[in-house]
Amino acid sequence: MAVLSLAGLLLLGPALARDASAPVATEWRVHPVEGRLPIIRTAPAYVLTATDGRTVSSADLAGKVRLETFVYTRCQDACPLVSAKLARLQRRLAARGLLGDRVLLASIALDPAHDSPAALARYAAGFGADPRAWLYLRGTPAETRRLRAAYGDLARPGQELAHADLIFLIDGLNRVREIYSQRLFDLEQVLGDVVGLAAVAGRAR
Amino acid sequence: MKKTVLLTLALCLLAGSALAEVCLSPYVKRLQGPEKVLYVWSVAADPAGQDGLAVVDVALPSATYGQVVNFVPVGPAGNEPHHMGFTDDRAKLWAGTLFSNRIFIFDVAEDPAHPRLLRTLDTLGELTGLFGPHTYYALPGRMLITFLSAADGGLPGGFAEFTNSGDLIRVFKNPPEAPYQYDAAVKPDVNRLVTSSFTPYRNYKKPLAQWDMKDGGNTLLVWDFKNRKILQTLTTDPVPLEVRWSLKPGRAYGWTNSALGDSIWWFGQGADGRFSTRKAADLGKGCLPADLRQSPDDHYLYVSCFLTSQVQAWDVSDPVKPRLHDVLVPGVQPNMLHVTGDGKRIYITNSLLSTMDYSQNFWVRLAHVGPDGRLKLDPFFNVDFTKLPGGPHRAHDMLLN
Repeated sequence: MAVLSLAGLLLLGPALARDASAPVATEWRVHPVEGRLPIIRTAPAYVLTATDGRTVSSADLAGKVRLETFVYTRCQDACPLVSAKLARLQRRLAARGLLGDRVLLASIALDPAHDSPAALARYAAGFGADPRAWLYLRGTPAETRRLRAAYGDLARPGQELAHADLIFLIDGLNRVREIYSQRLFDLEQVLGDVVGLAAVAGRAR
Repeated sequence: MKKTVLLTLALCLLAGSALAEVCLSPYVKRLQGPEKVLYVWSVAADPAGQDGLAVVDVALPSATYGQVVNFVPVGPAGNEPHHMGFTDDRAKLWAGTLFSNRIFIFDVAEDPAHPRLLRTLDTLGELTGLFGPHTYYALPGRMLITFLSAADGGLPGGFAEFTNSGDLIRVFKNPPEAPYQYDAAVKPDVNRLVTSSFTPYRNYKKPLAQWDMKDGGNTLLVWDFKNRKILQTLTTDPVPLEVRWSLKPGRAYGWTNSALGDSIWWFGQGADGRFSTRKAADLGKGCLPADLRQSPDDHYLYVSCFLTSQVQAWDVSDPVKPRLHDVLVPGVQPNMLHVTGDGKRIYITNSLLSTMDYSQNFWVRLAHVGPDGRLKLDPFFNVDFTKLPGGPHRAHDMLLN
């Protein structure tokens, strides 16, 4: 029922979602907006390599909702916290039967020069990542720099590994629809967003 | 591997519990260690001067401590630089102007003492239908900017959301029954955004004596933050300005300063989930409270009385019945306050708006907060903004880095 309501909210837009008695702010549809998840930007396209050697492109992932973030295995602050939160989310999505077919998690290696596919696979296993649904992806250092810059996070000389602890929610059309801060991550809210977007993606297929 | 992960997680959680900077969006990365530079967004007081971002050295061991060490001009006088804010990653500083409707985006990560102008948003009226960017509130990967006016200088105001690099995402305009806009603050753990109300460009552009004192708001809007949906319209004394949520996790209450009511108002959520307001403190006739700040331990509110030249410290142990704890007179017309992350220092400027200032003696000063919460002016820290190399400047908003 909750899934249905949220999907309805996303499809019908904010007008129907509002309490009729509440004051209504006029929303300018500068970009098409679907309820609570505006189109923030187009997610950068990529071709990367999974830990099992498969080539994975963002085009391959189209049609599925995904949560994307950046990690490196030596990271002692934000990355383990981000990964722990994605691990919790993975369990909840699996329980709802959404993991894999409709929703993916993707952790992009921030330090490919140091993090080999084997090192990433060990790191992923440490967080219980399901290799079919939680991808650890790796590119060249140049490709990694380009990707994080496209997400608005520039690598700075001497502090290449300092990065934003953000998790991006990407819809089936490769558009960023929400950005979560690791520090203020609300699992139930994120789950609601993912379930809603997956419902929309499901109808579009 | 799992043990290492658990240990790392525990250390991260402990580190996060320390006192942190307040009155910034909770999404902004906190400053590690003591401040080194103070950014002061400055209005050229001489019509031939340049508006710009001044950088004051506030690193205690530095030979140039307490001096303006850099000034980044943004153009000829007349923009009315006002407020500014960091993006969530603290890599960029967004600073805007109330008369020219511009936002300047600076890089402050590469060399914090030398901000570098990256981009100027100078078609905001056409882009958003709004005028007078005021509050710069970081969201993850985005900025929420409130605007005091519609593009024609009238009403309604509203807010717009941009990516951190300055691309527009969406715009919300205030509803007809509460068209005035001013500040915005989010309490993520209770999913509420509160916005407040001032006066539009058609009014604030005029000398104070010509202001229409009835052309101002007296409303706070309570929003479902996630859905950007207005839930309630609350009322206060006229012109509630800053929105300061309690820093206690899960507590859905806070305070605002009514500029024309000379008062602090409490707002908060009741057991039924509905918000209400009540007058919490009388600041004294003629105070004109221009800024309201908090101590990081949620113990005190600091209010600047622009007309009576005081900084008042209010003990908010009882949130609905604050008690006056101390009064400091830092100099004439104190305005913006900036409390350090350890709660031990408060930087103070003294220009409100070029149309409202009644003294031409502009400065940045420093107050120390004692262990007893009493305020003491630092006699050695006095940055004279009338003597900048580019001529006199009105010092307004501040940020530390």
